[in-house]
Amino acid sequence: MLNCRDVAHEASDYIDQNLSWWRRLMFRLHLFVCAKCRRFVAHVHLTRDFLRRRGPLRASDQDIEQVMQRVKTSAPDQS
Amino acid sequence: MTDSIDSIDQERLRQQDHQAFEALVSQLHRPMVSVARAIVGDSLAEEVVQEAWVSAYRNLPKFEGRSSVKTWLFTIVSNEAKSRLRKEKRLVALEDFNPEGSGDYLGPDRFFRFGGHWKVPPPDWHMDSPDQLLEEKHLQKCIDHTVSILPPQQRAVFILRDIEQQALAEICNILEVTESYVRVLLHRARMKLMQVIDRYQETGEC
Repeated sequence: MLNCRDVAHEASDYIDQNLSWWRRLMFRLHLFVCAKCRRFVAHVHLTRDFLRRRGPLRASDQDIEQVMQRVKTSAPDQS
Repeated sequence: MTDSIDSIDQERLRQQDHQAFEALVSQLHRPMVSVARAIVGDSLAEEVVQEAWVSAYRNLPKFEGRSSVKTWLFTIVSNEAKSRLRKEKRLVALEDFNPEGSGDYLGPDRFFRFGGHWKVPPPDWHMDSPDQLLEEKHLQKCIDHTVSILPPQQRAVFILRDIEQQALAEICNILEVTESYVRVLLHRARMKLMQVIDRYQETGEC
């Protein structure tokens, strides 16, 4: 049987479905009896979904300008 | 939140169309810097990424689409960084390869030593949907700041997996690390970010 510490450390693997079927079964058994771990796993889930929904950070105009300039200088025959 | 990479016309990219290339730079420059930082460290990362963009631009006509554009570019920057590392004969600081360093959130004080039960249980969150969290501008700033100060490998893994949604196997190839190590880094990064949300939920501050 897993304890709360195990569950907390393996929560990402659980929500990403990276646990073996046996470990996953043990994990679910623990969640069945432990409200605190259910809350913790829900938080990990929410954190992942929230961060994914935020999407990528775009480069600044200055970064883009720098890259385009470098490309123009280094590959002038093709640009 | 942003246009996806898929919306950039691959044929225009192959023809080295500047507008299409700029759109690519806009969306992938920062993740590429994160990959480079994880391999060569802060001081060389920008230079490596600039070289990677030049190399990508030159090779666009040969891009066959066997992998996604993202994976292709991450592989280019990874190869560029590894080659630079060999040239510089530098070793990335040991701390970069150490997945520890984000352990406070799940540190020994959080659990009873015997039995492993929660000593400090997770608090209730009053904002319990991604939509609610997305509305909090101050929280977004806190998250951006925390991502920016994650150890380089943690940051790269987090960005590649949770933001760019690359497969674990691809991430292992890009960073030359094992899958179990990637999973450890990812969990640690998420725990740091979750800690920020935890504090924000409780105090409204970072």
